[in-house]
Amino acid sequence: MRKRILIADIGSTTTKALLFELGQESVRLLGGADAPTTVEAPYNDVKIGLLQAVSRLEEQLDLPLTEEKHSIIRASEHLDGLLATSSAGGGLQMLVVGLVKTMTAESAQKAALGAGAVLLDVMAQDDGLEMYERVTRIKELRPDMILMAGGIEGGAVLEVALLADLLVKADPKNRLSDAKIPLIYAGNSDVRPYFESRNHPFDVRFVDNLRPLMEKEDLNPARLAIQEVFLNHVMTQAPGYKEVQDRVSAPILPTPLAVGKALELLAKEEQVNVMAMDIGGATTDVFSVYEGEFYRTVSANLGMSYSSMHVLAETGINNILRWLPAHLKEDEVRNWIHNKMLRPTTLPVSADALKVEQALAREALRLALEQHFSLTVALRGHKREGDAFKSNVTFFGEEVLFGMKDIDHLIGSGGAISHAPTPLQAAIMMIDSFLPSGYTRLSLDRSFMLPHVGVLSQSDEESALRVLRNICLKPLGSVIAPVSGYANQNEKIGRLQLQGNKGTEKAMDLRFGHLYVLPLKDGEDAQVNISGHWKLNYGKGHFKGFSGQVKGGDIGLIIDLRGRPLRLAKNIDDQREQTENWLVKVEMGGQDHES
Amino acid sequence: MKARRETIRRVLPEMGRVLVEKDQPVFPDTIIAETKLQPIEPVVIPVTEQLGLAPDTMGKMALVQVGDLVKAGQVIAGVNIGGVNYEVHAPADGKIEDISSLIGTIALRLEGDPNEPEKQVNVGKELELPDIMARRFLQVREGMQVKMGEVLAMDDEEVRINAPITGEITKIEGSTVYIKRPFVLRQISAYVPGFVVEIVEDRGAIIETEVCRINGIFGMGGETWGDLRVAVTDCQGVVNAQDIRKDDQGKILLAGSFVSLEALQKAKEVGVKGIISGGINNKDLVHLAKEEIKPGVIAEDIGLTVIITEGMGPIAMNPDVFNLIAKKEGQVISINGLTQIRAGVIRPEILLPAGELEAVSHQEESPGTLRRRLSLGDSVRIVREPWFGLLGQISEIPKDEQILPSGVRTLVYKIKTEDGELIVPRANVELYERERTGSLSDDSAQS
Repeated sequence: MRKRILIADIGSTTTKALLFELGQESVRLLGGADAPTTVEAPYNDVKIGLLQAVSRLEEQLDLPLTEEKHSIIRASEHLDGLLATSSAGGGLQMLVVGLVKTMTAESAQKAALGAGAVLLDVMAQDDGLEMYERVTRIKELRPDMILMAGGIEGGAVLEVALLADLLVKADPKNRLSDAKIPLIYAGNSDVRPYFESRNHPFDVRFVDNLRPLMEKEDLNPARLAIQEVFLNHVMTQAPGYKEVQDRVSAPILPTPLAVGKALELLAKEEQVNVMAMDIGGATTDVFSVYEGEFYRTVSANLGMSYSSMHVLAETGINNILRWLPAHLKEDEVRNWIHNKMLRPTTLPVSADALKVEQALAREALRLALEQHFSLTVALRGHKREGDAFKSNVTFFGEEVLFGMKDIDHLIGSGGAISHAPTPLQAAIMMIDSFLPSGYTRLSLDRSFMLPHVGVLSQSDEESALRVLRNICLKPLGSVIAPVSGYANQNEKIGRLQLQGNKGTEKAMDLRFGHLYVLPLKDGEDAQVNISGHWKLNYGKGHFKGFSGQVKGGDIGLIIDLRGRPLRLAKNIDDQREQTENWLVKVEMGGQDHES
Repeated sequence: MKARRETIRRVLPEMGRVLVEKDQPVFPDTIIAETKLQPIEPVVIPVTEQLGLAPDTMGKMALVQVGDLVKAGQVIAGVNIGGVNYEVHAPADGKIEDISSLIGTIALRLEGDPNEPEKQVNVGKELELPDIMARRFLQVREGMQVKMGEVLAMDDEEVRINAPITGEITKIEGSTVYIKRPFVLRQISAYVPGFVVEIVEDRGAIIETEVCRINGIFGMGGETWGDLRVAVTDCQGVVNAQDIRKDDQGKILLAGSFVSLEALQKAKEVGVKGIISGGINNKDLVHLAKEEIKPGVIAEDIGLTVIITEGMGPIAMNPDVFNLIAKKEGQVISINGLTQIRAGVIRPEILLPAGELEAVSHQEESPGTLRRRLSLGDSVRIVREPWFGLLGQISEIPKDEQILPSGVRTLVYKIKTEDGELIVPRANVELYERERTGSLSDDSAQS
């Protein structure tokens, strides 16, 4: 039995509808079409954009999917179901409140991000704002939902009540309707009576404290509550959603949460840790699934166009120039980056203009990853239990739960990556910014299909997995890099032997400081051995070398012997020469010394 | 472009005194309203705690309401328990900002006269010690900010001397501490010439004016106005340091394609109020601002207002816009560099006075952003390097995507220009119509 399922992601600017045919053993993408999202005036009805996308799809496929003059999508002989994800109207916009910035407020922030929210603000008693400033700020915000935490069980009461009081006073208004704003209270349960005993403008629901103890975080009840409220309250008020909701065969998911579901599926199936990046014009998201747990951060000020100046300000001009050839002058580069912010939709015409954009993307991604790791740290204020060897990764002195060496599969998406003119450019940008180490697979989600996969996985995991593998992800190949250690530039650090199961063979000496690209086609696996060297550690220890099965792709196998972190020259001019050499050699088809 | 009648709301962010009357003519520098009461953070009085009662009794005890003006010593809360009256008094003049029955407090925002003398606290006298002894116990220094009730001095027996008001320690003489409340005069001016059509009570007024409004694409610096001087001969003109004259003080200068860093510095020195240019270097703005530019809602202060109409780098101003502004030479124009890129885009504005011969339209102009599909023969401008600012005509609209030198694959136009026929991504082109200018704020006109 074949089923036809229509899956739509109602994004903040574009509604993208894809039609899949799901069989017992196979999946097919029959077609896809876009239309502008119509959540705002003059339309005020997301259904219009959705129907428009679907009717374009009908035209494309010559297949009737709607009824009554394109006004209704319903199950028919041509269509078996509709699924949807949404970040329309700017997604699920939340205000997060906690008591202490680095404790309950941070835990609450993680819970909200993990549930797919866009954070309007995170407030805490120690956020440096005066009371009236907070009230003014909350009044300005129009959150779809508020998540409030504060106090461990049996801990602070009065201070938490004061925060509650602040929210009540500010009396924020609902963005989409006159209904009460849902407030999820996940703080010290001793404070609940304050909400129960007085008049307030919120639709309050209580869930278990997300930080019951100093050393314990329990984010799931809050996350689930956010999802439930999103589906049953926020979405129903958004213009047009009610009808879409009545038509879908599984709950509508916030887009980022659907991405999380897709990554969880991949992680579970391949028994690996996964990380994905999505670089946009204004924001950059980083998602990871480590040991089955989903983490997500949104860097609201890192992006390619609207946020280009923020990237420049955060990283500094030299960090951008280091990725650019010496003939590009600082003045010119600055002006180009500034102009990209002023005219965000324009495209790079010259090769130099593209290089500037790709340099900017590297830095935006690098900073977004830093922010990701700054949130995926062990709970602050206590020592983590468990084995001492595992917790050796540190990030600015904080104990990080995992590092790039723990990531087995890295997925790139978002304009700058997925529309890079060549897959090699995309791969190198991903490597330069995220610095994967050990063995890591690289894939592209070219058309940002992860949300579609995620929502499908809710009802049909097997098909979702097939879509993910066969349609959504485009394998770029794999990268092997030492986890730690440096040798001298050009020093011979070992010999590589590659034996593919479809005939590819290679044997060559490897030298430190170089980037090698070895073709290995998608679908071909290879056994790779790199002899050990006392200075380098590929993950199993110094002297050990690397030995394992690697997967091919559009690029093949990349051996990155530039060190982790990259060992860059001291002054900027030398750095520019150095990075240009890497790129030029790679673009000329990789290095091939003494093969 | 037609001038049009606009109403502009000019109000203070907080309550103040309105200085104009309805129907009064105003000039850009006419003060509309002012406030001499710089509100500082409110004093929170723990009322129920002082009386040893539960916080939720606050509602019954409060004798004032939010917004009430109270005098120092005035009873603001009270309760009668067993025939005995317990009262709480206002510690200073001010306005009730908040009454919380959740925690049992009243918040009072202090108000007063900016000309009031500094408050003196003679610590030695209070502690009954000679100055030289008393100074040992001081816990504050000159220049420090103190809040009302904070400890100024504490002796060995833990006798505390508290600050009677919130403010700055201006000096310490002997053991006498002088505290000055930080008052600032805040004023709002008319910004444009016109008439007062409505008074906004305690805040300001609504002004009706007849202006041509032009939006730039990026700006820095806030509202200002001054006589316009055209500092170049045409829209290609560059303003260098030698083009800035001594008598440019208080003026707004019009440049063509570029203003050099030296010119910006000299303009600042001379006291030029604003510069309008097609382009400028990002690096020079960073140099003036002394930090990287992150446009937010707050206009960054670089000593003068700068408005860019095209983009960063040397880029000729749209000739029609240049001519429109240049026509106003010698007249007072108003400009505001405030720019916000995301979330309700705000672009910088140039407000030109309507001339007598120009028609004044009462109706809203149809928005200049009509995004019709560009067609063959349309006049267009290119809005990205390497041909930024170049004008031309669409000579061909290829159906298929083309590969640019950058490797990017996209839909393009072929455009006939003075540099020959160019292949330009459709996203990098905007419609250029001689009849309708001044729609500079649009992003590229996409088809």
